[in-house]
Parts: sequence; structure tokens; C-alpha cells
Amino acid sequence: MNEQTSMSDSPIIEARNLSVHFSVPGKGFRKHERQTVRAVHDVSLSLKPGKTLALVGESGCGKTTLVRALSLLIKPTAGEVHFDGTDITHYKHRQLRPLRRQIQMVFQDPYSSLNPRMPVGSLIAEPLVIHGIGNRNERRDKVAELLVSVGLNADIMNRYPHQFSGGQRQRIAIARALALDPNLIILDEPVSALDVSVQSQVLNLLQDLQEKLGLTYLFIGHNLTVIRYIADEVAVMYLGEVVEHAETQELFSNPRHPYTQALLRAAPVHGVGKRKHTTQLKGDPPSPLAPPPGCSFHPRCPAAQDICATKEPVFEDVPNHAGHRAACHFKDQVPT
Amino acid sequence: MASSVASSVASSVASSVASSAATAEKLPEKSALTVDGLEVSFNTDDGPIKAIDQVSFDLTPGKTLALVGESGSGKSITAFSIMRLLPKVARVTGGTIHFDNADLLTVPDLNMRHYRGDRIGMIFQEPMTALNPVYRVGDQIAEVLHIHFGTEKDQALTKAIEMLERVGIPDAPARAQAFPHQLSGGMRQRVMIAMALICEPDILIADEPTTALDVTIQAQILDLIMDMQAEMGMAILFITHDLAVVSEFADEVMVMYAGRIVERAPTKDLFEDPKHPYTRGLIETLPVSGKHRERLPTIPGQVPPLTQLPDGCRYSNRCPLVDDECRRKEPGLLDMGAMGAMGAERFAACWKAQP
Amino acid sequence: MTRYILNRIGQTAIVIAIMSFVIYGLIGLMPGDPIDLMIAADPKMTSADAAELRELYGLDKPIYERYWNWALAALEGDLGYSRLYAQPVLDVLWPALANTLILLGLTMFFSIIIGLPLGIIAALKPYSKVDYFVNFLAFGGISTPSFWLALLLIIFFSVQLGILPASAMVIGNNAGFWEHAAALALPVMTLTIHSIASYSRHMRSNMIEIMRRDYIRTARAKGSSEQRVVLKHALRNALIPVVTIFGLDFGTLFSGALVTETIFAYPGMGKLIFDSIMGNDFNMALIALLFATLMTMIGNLLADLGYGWLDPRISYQGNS
Repeated sequence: MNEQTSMSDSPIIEARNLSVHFSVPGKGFRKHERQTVRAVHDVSLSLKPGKTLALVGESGCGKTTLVRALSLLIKPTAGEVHFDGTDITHYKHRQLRPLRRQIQMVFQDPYSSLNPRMPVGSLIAEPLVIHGIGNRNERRDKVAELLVSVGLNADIMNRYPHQFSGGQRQRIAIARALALDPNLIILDEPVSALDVSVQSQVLNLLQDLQEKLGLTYLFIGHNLTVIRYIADEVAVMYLGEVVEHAETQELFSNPRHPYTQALLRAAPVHGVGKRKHTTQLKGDPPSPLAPPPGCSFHPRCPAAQDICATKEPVFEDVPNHAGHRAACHFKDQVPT
Repeated sequence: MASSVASSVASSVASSVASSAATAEKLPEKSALTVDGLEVSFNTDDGPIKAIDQVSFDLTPGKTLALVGESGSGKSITAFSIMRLLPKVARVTGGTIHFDNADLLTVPDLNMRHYRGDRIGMIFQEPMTALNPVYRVGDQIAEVLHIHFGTEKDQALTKAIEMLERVGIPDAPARAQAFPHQLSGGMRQRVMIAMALICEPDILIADEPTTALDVTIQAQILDLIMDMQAEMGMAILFITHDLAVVSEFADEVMVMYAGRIVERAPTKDLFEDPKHPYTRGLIETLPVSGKHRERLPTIPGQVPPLTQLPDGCRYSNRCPLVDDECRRKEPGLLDMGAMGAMGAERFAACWKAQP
Repeated sequence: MTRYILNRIGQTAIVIAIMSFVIYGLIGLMPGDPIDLMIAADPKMTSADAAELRELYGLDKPIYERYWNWALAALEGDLGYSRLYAQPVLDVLWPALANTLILLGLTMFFSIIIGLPLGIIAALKPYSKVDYFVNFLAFGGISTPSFWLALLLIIFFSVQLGILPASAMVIGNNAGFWEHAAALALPVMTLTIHSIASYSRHMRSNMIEIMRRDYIRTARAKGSSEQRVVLKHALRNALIPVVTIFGLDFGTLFSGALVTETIFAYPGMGKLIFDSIMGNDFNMALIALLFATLMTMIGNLLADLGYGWLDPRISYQGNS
């Protein structure tokens, strides 16, 4: 581990005004008029080394696209991606290759993210094979080491994924992600598909690994209790934009964007007793093909005013709360 | 033939009941349902295996009972047993389900079909796959009326549209013409709810209805179900793995583990003072707001496969309080005495539990 | 939708044009030409006569020039003259086309009304005796080569039982209805047995797949009878992929019927193609083959449209 990197505050990965727009054919007779899907729009955020940033949002908010753009699996339409201080937005495949070792992913579904035809040992060793690291014996030793580090027995190397439970498979996926000693691990809803009693095991494991190896996590999730527990910072996404970004404690106790407030109100918490949510958040999110004018949230916002329909709010600091940014004309108002 | 005469008599009786119900001032009387000692076995290559055993509970009109468990606990099987919708490899091998002066497990198929959709409604987890992709949603809802009351197509569609409005779908007449793939997840679930409730059943079984939905949509749907219950007065059996949802939604909770009920209590009591070590483990394992980054307590080990259940208590191989008695004798649901604000009963299947 | 159909028609036209060139070339590559047949018929012809005749018919020109001339004439509507039948090509073609369409129509009709129900019945009781029986029949039907089957049927029905004619040449010759029916019986049976086998297998596997879907469970939870579940909820979904097969079959049957028609001397497109190729009647063969291509493409188009009609998730307008 590079001591210098972990001590400095320079972010591991950074997005600057990142946009990913897809061009799709128009409907019916207007096929030639292509329309734009704003999957990700003007997003700026950064991940500090050794920390966990959570991306929260509902289906279609663009979090998966954003994550792919950050790891340059998709080419951004506009903006920049910086890795460890260097602008890598326009890197060619060959230049990106060594960087890919430093960014790894763990996916949501432990049942489909592991190739059922490969034994566990091969699955974990595959990244090493791809990057030409070590000979057969060295790889086998590394795999054994990785299995132990995720709390599994080294001798399961020859078994197949279907012989394991969801929680164990997720551990295998994490072992695979660690094979190349990455700096950054992107976790796309890693515990959502697991039983409750197993979730905590995996969350503990992720925490331990972060401490031991100085890993940085980009954690996508929708369960706010889990997010509150594991994240240092939280970015809330809506319709392709980051609408609020703050340190965890601050976001949960002082949410300034109405969407964040709605999310927090909607999330079930135990201990409150039987209640209705009176979310006041009506209807469904609009299509990213036709984002509303002005603030994209205004049609559903319980606190919308005239200005919200015409003027797009700027994503900037909340007054008197440095480091807490929100995109709302009324972010200076304390939540009731 | 006899069956068509019977069904036409039944439908004329039913339609007069339905129309009088619709115009009644008070809520019509809903029947309760009692499950007693339910046992379901699966046929496997190694012989029959009991998937659920000794399952007993009551569904009371106007009240919500949550059935909580992890994968393999048997909660969905319990729900499907009530509707007699088990897959062919599963058979009910014991117990009774008492409803409306009959045992649902022994009534003829024809009677069971009359109950399904009319007296007992069910909604499922994945609204996309649970709706038929080639028919319009309005027609799918209207079909329920046609099946049970022989309602004419146009009239049934009108009532279906009314129901769509009742479940909060905007622009209902237009939406009724849509196909399932044209609707969002939340809307599809509302359609399912409309379909299940259009006959104002006595019982609603909800099998993880919000698991596949976004958090804000989940909140909307839960609110909707609560509103419907207040309007119609039916009993709800709510199956889930999400304890937080349970605490906000259910009156009473049953926890299942490896095919058995291990605890039953009013919601508040369950969360404040869980009696069974598994319940306690589940509650403690949840990340709780405020405890940032402390190690979460976990339940060691895993759920044993149904073919390799330990002797004695099923939870014995993971329980922190286990002793020899636990390993030898399997505890039944022991009465923890009348507790809670309403004097409701509490049960836990644990030798070590203290009333 | 109109735009989609126009698009497809345009594609079809392009394919036909390309195919015309390919087929023309292939036929041209075949050894021998009509003049050779004349020589064989009249040994007294000299090579000078042959050369003169070739020049008369334009057969001495290079192939691309011949093709170009043909194409120009075809676009003006002149599809040429059939040497073998001594009539304009189209005059020979239309009756043959009509006959084949009758044959195909009957085949598809019987295949559907027998094959689909068989598949459904097998699917409702998988791995039961009924299912094994239907599967056995199906494998038998699929594995049997059509010409062998045709000959077997002839031996059985015409030779041994003597109740059905082995030849279908009565068609079109002012024969009565029953004569026509009898003449059609064996060819239809030959083609149908194979089709039934194929449709029943497809239907069976589709139905088994569909009956496992969640919406079937929902239909039962609504109180549907098993009959309603199968016929209303499952069937329409199971038919969707089968419709694709109908369309593709349309084209396949068209050319596959060639062997059957020839064996039964049934005066349809298949026999026409066969006879005209064997008789070195270039024009006829070319036009007949192009029509077969056209029929296949129409079949594909109908299959796609049918698929879109049955499955509301498919839209040719780009709507979501």
C-alpha cells in the first residue's frame, strides 16, 4: 500500500461534470429524430482513499451508469474522470489496462455473478490469469490466502458455486475482487439479495477488509439503514443527477433536499410502531427521456414553488454546512 | 350438468350478496381463518421431507399478522398451502385450515376455486411476472368478476376501472387499456392489489409484495394496503423477511425458522422483548441507526438443510443458550403467558425462554 | 407499422434481385443448355446449326450480358417463354402456384388442428403415458424422410388397399371434387405427418415452459378453472413462438414439397421446378425458383407480423 496515497487527501477517483447521454431513435414515424436519454448528467464527486462513499437512489436514477462511467466501462459524453490525480477520460484501452487492476467490482446477485461452470479456485484466480501474474503454484497460494481472508476454508477451491449459499458466494466474489490488490472496490448492492442474518456477516467482513487493507469503497445500495451504518459519505441520485451529497451523519440528521427527505421518511424503521408514511411523494419517477424543465424533481416535490419549474438549481454548498452540497433552491431551509 | 347448475346458482347467490354488500352501510362480516397443525411434505429422491411442521395461527378480520423468516423457513409454503396452490411435488400431510365452517384442506377443488379470488385474495412478490403479458390490465382485473359472478364484460370492466381508481391509479380508464409491460413496478403492484381485492375478500395473503419495489414506492404500497384494510376490514397475512417493515405494518408477528414457528407475539412486544434466541439474533443483527461502524452481532453458522435437521431443537446448532435439554427434546410453542397491552398471547419455542 | 411493412417489402425486393442474379448464374453454370437437348433429339444437327441456333437464342453471349437482358425484360413484365411447356412462363406458373398453395393450405390446416392439441395434451401431463406416446409419434414423424414416407403410403393405400390414387395428375383436368380429394389425400398426409410431429413438439415444450410462469399461479389464485388457465392464460402465450414457426414453415414447405410433389406427380411448384431444371428450361426454372424465394420471404413477413400481433410487448413502431 502506498503510504503516501493513504495519508493524502487527494481522491482516488473523481468525476468532474460527468455526463453520459445515450442517443435513441425517436418513436414511430419520427425514427430519424434521435432523442437523448440523460442517464447521468453533470455529476461531480470524489472518493477519498480509505473511505466509503454510498450512492443511493431508486431504479433508473443512473447509479449503475455512473459507476460504469467512473470505471470507464462506458465512455462519458462529457466531463472528466480523474484517477489518482490524472485525467483518464480519454485513455485508450492499453493505457487503461494497468488501472483496471486497481478498480474491482462486486455485484448484487451472488447467483449469477459467478460462472457456474468454473470451480471456485479458477474463478478467484481468473483476474490473475488475465493480467499474467504469477505461475500456477503462486496463483494457487494466492487463492488460498484470499479464501482465508474472506472467512472461508482454503480447501473449497475445487468446488462449484452452486454448492454454496448466497452469503458464501458473495464472499467468493469478494475474494475474487481482492485478487489483484485493488485500491478501489465498487460494490453494487452487495448485500441486498442476502438473508438478514447473512447480511451482517458480509458487512462485518467488508469493514474488516477495509481496515486491514486500506480499501476504498463505492457502495451502491437502497437500504438506508445499511447505508447509514457503513458509509462515510452519501450521495443521493435522482434522474441522473446527484441531488445531495454530505457526510453520513449530516445527511441523515439534516437532509436539505426534498427527495432525500422523502427517502428518509419512506424508509421503514423498527421501533416506531404501526404507521402510515404520508410521504406526499406522488406517482412515479419521470422518464429520463423527458426530464422536467427546471428542477427535475419539481413535479413530485411537496415544497415546489414557481421558480422550481423554470430555473435549474445549482449543486452547491448548503450555507453554513461546508462539505454538504445539495441541488435545491430552498436548501437553506432547515427540514421540519 | 350438475356443476354448471351449481355454479349458476352459486353465482346468482353470490352476485346478490355482492350487490347488497356494496350498498350496505356497515362493513360486511368477515370470516376468520384458523390454521391448525399444518404440515407440508416435499417428495424428493430421498423420500418425503417435511418442509413445514406444526404450523398454527389465526387470521382475525381487521388485523395484520406478519410471517417473518429467511429463505427456506417455509413462509411462502405456508401461504400457498392456504390457497392450495402448492407445486405438484409438495403435499399437505397434516393439519386443518378452518374457514367459513369448512376445512380448506379437504373441500373439493370446485369449492376451493370459489374461495380463491373471491373470499381469499393473494398478491405476489414480482408484479411484472405475476401479470399475464398478453392481456390488458383492466381485462385481467375484470376477469375476477367474470369468474365468480358471471359479470358481463362491459360491466366488469367498469368495475375494474373503479377499483383502479380506488387503489390510486391516475387516469384509470386509460390505464386499464395498458399492458403490464407499459406500467411501472409500483403501478403493476397496484393492479395486483386491485385484482386481489375487487371481490372484497375476507383474507388477503401478501407474499413479499414490496420486496422488489423501490423504497418510496414500497411506502406508497404499504399505505395503500393499510387503507384498503381500513375500508374493507379483511385479515391480512403478510409475508416478508424485512423486520423493519413488519414493525411498521403488522399487529402481530410470527417468526419461522427451518419450517417451524419459533415465536409469536404482538409486534411491539416482539421488538421490545424477544423471547426466542433466533428472534433476538435477527433483531440484533440489523444495522441500527446511530451505531456507525461498530461490528454487527451475527448469528453464527447457517440454516441447516431440511434433510439434516439437528435432533431436538432446530436452532440448537447456532443458539448461544443451548444445553443438553435443547439438543435432546424439540420444544413446541410454549405459552409465554398473556402479555402486552391488549392481553394478547405470546408463544416461543424455546426451553430457555422466560415468560 | 406501415413504415415497417414498406421497409420489409423493400428488403424483399432487394433479396429477390440478388437471388435472381445468383440463380441465373447457377443455372448458367450447369452443364448443357437447351441446344444440347435438341442435339440429343436430332443427331443430324451439325455444329454449325448448333452455333446458329445458339446465336439465335442469344446463348453465345457472356452470362452477365444475358442476365442483364433478362433483367431488363423482367422489369418490364416480360418474364419470358417456357421452352418445355411452349407457353409464356406465367401461364404455366399460376396454376402450379395455385396447386401448391392448396396443398400447403391443407397441410398447415391439418397440422395445426391435430399437432397443437396433441402438444397441449402432452404438456399438461408431462412424463405420463400420453406424453410418451405423443413424443414417440413426434420423433417418428420428424425422423422419417418424406420421400420414404411417401412411398410407404403409396404402397399401403394405393397398392395394398387400393383406395387412394398414387398419382395426382387428375388435378385441374376437369375432375370432380372427390377425385380431387382422393388425389390430394396422400400428398397431404405425407407432408402433414412431418409437420404435426414438429408442431406438437414445439407446442409441448412451450406449454410446459409457460405453465411454470408466475402469471399462471396468479390466474389460479383468482379462482380460474384449470380449463380457463390452460386455454385463456397459457395458450396465447405458448402460441407466440409457434407462430414464428408457421411463417418459416411456409417457405420451407414450399420447397420441401418438391420431393413429395414429384413422387406423386402433383402439378405444383415443386414439380415444376424439378421438371424445368431437368429439362434445362432456364426461364421456367429461374422464375419458379424466384417465386419460391418470394413465398419464403412472404412467409417470414407474415410470421413476424403475426408475432407482433400476438405479443403486445413487440411493437414495430418503436414505442415502449
